[in-house]
Order: sequence, then structure tokens, then C-alpha cells
Amino acid sequence: MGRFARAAAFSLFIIGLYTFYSVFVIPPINPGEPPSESAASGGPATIEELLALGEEVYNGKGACSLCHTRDGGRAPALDDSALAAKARFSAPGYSGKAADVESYLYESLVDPSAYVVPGYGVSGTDDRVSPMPGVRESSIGLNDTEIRAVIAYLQSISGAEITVALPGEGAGE
Amino acid sequence: MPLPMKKGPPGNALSSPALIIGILFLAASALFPSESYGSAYAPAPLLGPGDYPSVKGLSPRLAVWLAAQMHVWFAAFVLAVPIFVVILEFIGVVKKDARYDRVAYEFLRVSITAFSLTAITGGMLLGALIVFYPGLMRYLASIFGPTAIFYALFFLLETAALYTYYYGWKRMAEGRSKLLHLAVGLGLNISGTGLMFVANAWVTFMMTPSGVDGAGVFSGNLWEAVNNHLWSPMNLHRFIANIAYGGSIVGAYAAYRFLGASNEEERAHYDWMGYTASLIAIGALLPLPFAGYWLTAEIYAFSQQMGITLMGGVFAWLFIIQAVIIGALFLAANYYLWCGFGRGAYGDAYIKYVKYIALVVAASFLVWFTPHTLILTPSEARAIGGQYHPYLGPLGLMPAKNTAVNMMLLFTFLSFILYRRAHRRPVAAWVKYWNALQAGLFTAAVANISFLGVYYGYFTNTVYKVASSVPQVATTLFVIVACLVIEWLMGRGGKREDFKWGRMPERSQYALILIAVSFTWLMGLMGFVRSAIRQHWHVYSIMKDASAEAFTPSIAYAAKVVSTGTIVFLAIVVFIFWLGGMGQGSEAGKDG
Repeated sequence: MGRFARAAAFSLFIIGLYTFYSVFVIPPINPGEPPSESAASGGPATIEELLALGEEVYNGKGACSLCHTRDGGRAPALDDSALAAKARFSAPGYSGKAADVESYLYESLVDPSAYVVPGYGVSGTDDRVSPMPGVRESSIGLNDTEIRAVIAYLQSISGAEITVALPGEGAGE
Repeated sequence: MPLPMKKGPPGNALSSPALIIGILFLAASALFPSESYGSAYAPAPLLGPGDYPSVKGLSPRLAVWLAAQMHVWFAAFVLAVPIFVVILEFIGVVKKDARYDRVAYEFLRVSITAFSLTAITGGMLLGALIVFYPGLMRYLASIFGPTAIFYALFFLLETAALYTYYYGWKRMAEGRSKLLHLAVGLGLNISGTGLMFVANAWVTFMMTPSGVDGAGVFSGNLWEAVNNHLWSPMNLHRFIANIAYGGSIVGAYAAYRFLGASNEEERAHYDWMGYTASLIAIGALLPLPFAGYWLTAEIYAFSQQMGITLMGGVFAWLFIIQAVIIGALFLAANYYLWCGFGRGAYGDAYIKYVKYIALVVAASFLVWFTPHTLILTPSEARAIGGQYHPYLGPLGLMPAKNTAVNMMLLFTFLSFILYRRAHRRPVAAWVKYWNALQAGLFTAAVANISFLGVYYGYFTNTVYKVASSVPQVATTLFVIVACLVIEWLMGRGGKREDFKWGRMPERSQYALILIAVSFTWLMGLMGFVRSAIRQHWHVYSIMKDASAEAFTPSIAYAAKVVSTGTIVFLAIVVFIFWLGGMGQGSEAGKDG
């Protein structure tokens, strides 16, 4: 019985140690509540809600901010993307169909290789192929409302006019 | 031969659980008729809180969680044991060494009750899912219903093979019968692994659904749904992890029996059994991180958001806990090997190296343990100039972790090499050149792994950070293989003393117990995170969890659940071993 008690006590001590470490040493982080049904499916009703959704997607589900950073990340910073748009869809290397800022931003999200900012292409492609996945693909999986919210957010942080229409207002692509 | 635990004709003990599983699957198929078979399929249902039956005072999620965890622990054990039992039996046949056969049979005998418990806990899990999450089960069954046939088929095959294998052990002990017995063992493993693959299809679909459109409408191609992003990597990861886990549990059993051995012969037997089982456990642990890399890469490939939630979001700290436990596993494994130096006639000569190996393993552990982003108060963040520690921050990055884990593997392997040499002494004159070559290989490997980690990790484009881990791993594997070949060449014609099995300090056996407990706890924790990264989705991005418990629990809460489950599981395992001991006693009595 002595050896059983010793082995059991030792096992409990190990389990207790791991539990103590996880409960008291690791910082207590409580993951947020799941998004409420109205926010998840109803869609933004005002421009402010649209911008808030855009910022949330930009930093969260869209994972944009992981690569698009100011300090030499894998992708160019986007804080002037709306202002730089016109020059880009007029550039010689542009292969898309956009004719205005909003459609350019939309296109660069769903088809990132339509224009690749020099120096940010996949190695060996002469900046013709973007390493960024299209945001509709399953690895990111944004829906149309989320994409338009991100465009509005990009226009907002660039200080440009927000041209994105609210869902249900019949926005043209 | 009297059977250790069971009375009555063979098959009775397991036929009940088998029947339960079969009936539950048929019931599930009947309850959730595939209205969509052969016609248009329905989208994933949009559930509301009212779609989840509740029982007062019972948390449905906790009930399913614990049932699933118990089932996975038992299943891992019973899938692993037959794998190395067959391997040991095969080695015994080839080497004509009865020790292997004896220990293989004992492995199987002590685990036989666990087969029944695996089926029972599987039935409990399925029952809990059907009762508490009927909407989810209905949707999954509408896609995966046909796989239940395969599940039932594999289950029946496994049951038949298990009983033939177990009860036929002594009747099929010689000549061609022995080969037939080995073939039955192979069949047992194939059917068991097939069973796991079928179950994995359901689970991985919930994480990385494929074969459905954005609304969850099934395309009708079952293979596409089965062969989703995570199916293959999870099959491989679980297959390897199961072997490591089974080895650890049997090692703990041997350790316990070693501590209570009544004579030298018994002590020697359980020492050998513990060593063999732990060798299997640690041997399977070594490739596990690489299977884990594949699994994680596929998660990122499917959804960057899910990958970020896993590695950089709320669960990032969970990997620090994982690092602590894996560090403990490596330290325990090394400690056990160092204690084993005493088994060999020449072991004393290598004791002096232990402190250096310990230093490297401990330092690597600390690097692995170092978090990248610190959770700080604003004043603390101001004091150190940001969220990253100015000196230790770089150690939190993946290149540092990859370097550390390769060092840990390399030096654990060095412990193993020294352990082997504890009972061998090469005598040829050229041995010193082989030794120099090995030392050179180790030195070059350490330099190369460090260079790859530091240069590509910190001084080149970000893209190379992760890519450099591949040549690091290749370096480690190359050194392991090359040194084993050199050891084999050196050992030929040299002096070789048999190990003195049983000549181990008692404290060494606690290292084996620690390995089993840590494996169990770690499996529970990693199972939690695998499931939790779906967050508030039943089927990720397809079908929302609308129950009151859709929120993601904290790591602290998960740790308490895992600890409770671990204690219950290990208590049951101890009970099984106790039964096994009783069976052995009665068997010995009859034999005597």
C-alpha cells in the first residue's frame, strides 16, 4: 500500500503542479463572448457601424494587419491605400479592370495579383504574383459585407471620401 | 489457461459494448434519416438556443467534453498497445527470444479491459452528442451517415481480431501458427487504425469543412468531405501520438510493478519492460513535432484566422504550458537514461557528461518556455519599453523555439548514445577516429542549427524564418541516422556486457510515472485547443453554435477540466492494472 500511496501522491503532485501553473501563473485571459446574432447577420446599419466592422475584420478575421505593417512587414502599409489607388490602377503593371478607388480596393482584396506593389511580389515573379491570398478564399473567407466594410475602413484611415454604400442601399461594385 | 479478468465464453465481455456502439450508430441513422440522399441537400441549419435540450444541473458541453476526452484517452491506449505488441512479437520471432513474446503478451493482457472501456466511453460520447446536440448530429449524419457502416465494420473486425489474437496467443505459438497469429495482429492494427480514420473524418470536417458550399450544402461527394484539410495530418499525428501515449502508460505500469517487485527476477523483468516501453514512447515522441507542424500548416492553409487564433491569439499562452510539459518530458526521459548508465559495466565512465547534457537540455527548455508577447500592465510595458522584453523578446520567436527543440532532440539522442555505450566497449584501434567523426558531426550540427536559427531567423526576410526550420530538422535527423550507423560499425567485434536489468534506483521509476501523467495531461490540453479554435462554431464558418455554452472557456477553466479528467482516467487505469495483477496472480498460481 505504501508504494501505491507514493505513486498516487506523486501523480497528483504532478497534476496539481500543471494545474497551478495554468490557473495561477499563466495570465488570466477570458476569450470574448461569441458575436451576437444581430451583429453577425444583420449587417451594419450606419457608416459608423460599417467602419467599426471594417476595423474589426482588418485586425481580426481578415488578418490584414499581420502583414500590412508600417515597419517593413511582408506587405505594404495601407494607411494611404485609397489615396494611392488611382496611381496604381493607372500604372503600366496593372492588369485589372478597376476604374475608380472603390473598385480598385475591392479588386486588390479578391484578386491581389491584379497589381503588385513593386518589391512585394512572390520571389522570382518580377512582382507579377502577389503572395497574398484572395480574401474570399477559405483561408480568410470574408463575405461581401465584410469586404466592403474593410474598403470603407481603408478609405477612412487614408483620409479619403467613403464611397461604400451600406448593405441594402444598392452599392455598385 | 484461466483468463485474467473475464469469465464466460470469449467475446462476452466486449460483445455488450460492441452491441451498444452498433445499436447507437443504427439508432443515429434512424433518428437522422438522410432526407437529402439522392436528392438536393439542405444547408446547415441555423440553430437557436431552443434547439439544445437541457438537463437541470448538468452542463451539456462539459458532459460531452469529458466523455470525448475519456474516449480519446482509452482509444489512444488501445490503438497503441497492439501496434507495439505486434512489433515485439515479431522481434521475438526473428530473434528467437522468448522475453519479447512474454512482454508482448503482458502488454496485451493488461490492456484488454481498456478495449471494453473504450467502447463504453465511445457509446457514452455518442449518446451525449445525440441528446445534447441533436441539430449538429443530424447535420453531420446527413453528410457522414454512410461512414457509420465502415465504422461498424472496422469495429467488428477489430473485435474479432482482438479476441483471436489474445486468446490464440498460446495456442498459436509455434511454426506457421505463429505467423498466422502475427497476421491476425496486423489485422487488428489495420482495423483499429481504420476505425480511428473514420472518426477523424467527422471531427476534422467540423474544423475544416470541405465538400460543402458556404451555406453548408453538401456537394454529394463524400470523399471530398472526408478528405478535408486536416484529415490526413490528424490521422498521422494521432497515429504517432497514440504510440507514444501507449508506450508511456505501459512504462508507468512497469514502473509500478518494479517498485513492488518481490524478487530480483521480477525486478529485472519490469525494469526491462519499463525501458522498452519508454523507448517506444520517446521514440514516437521525437517525430511528433513534425507531424504537428504539418497539422498547423494545414490549419493556416484552410483559414489564416483559425491559425492566428491558435498560435497568436487567446491560445498563445497554452503553448507555453505545452512547452513546460514537453520540457518536463524531455528532462524525465534524459534522467531515466542517465540512471540507466548504472545497468552497464562501463556506465560510470559517462556520468561526467551528464551535467553538460543537463545544462543544454535545461537551457533549451528555458528558450522554448520564453513567451514572445508579454501581458503587462501599462506601467510595466512602459518600464521595459513595449510588449517585448528587450533581451529575452527575441527568444520568444519561432526561430529560437525551433533551434531549442532541435538542440533538445540532439542532446537527448546523445544521452541515448552514451546509455548504449554503458554496456559496450569497442576495442578496434580505429575507434578513436569514429569517435572523432561523431564528435565532429555533433559539433557541426550544433553550429549549423544555431546558424540557421540565428541568421535566417533574425537577419533575413521574414519568409525564411519558418522555412529555415526544415534544414534544421534535416540536420538533426541526419546526425541521428549517421551516428547510429557509426555506433553499429563501432560495436562490431567489440566487448559487450549484458545490461544488469533491475539495477536501477527506485527514483528512476518515478520518471516513467511522470512521463505517463504528463502525456495524459498534455493530450487533454491539446485536445481542448484543437476543438476550441473552432470558437463559437459547430462546423467552422458553416454552422454556428447557438447554445448557452457557445463561448470559448479560459485556459484556466480548461486546465481544471483536464486535471479532473486525468485523475478519473488514471484512477480507472490503475484499477485495470490491479485487475491485471489479480489475473496474473491466478495465472501464476495455476502454472505453478
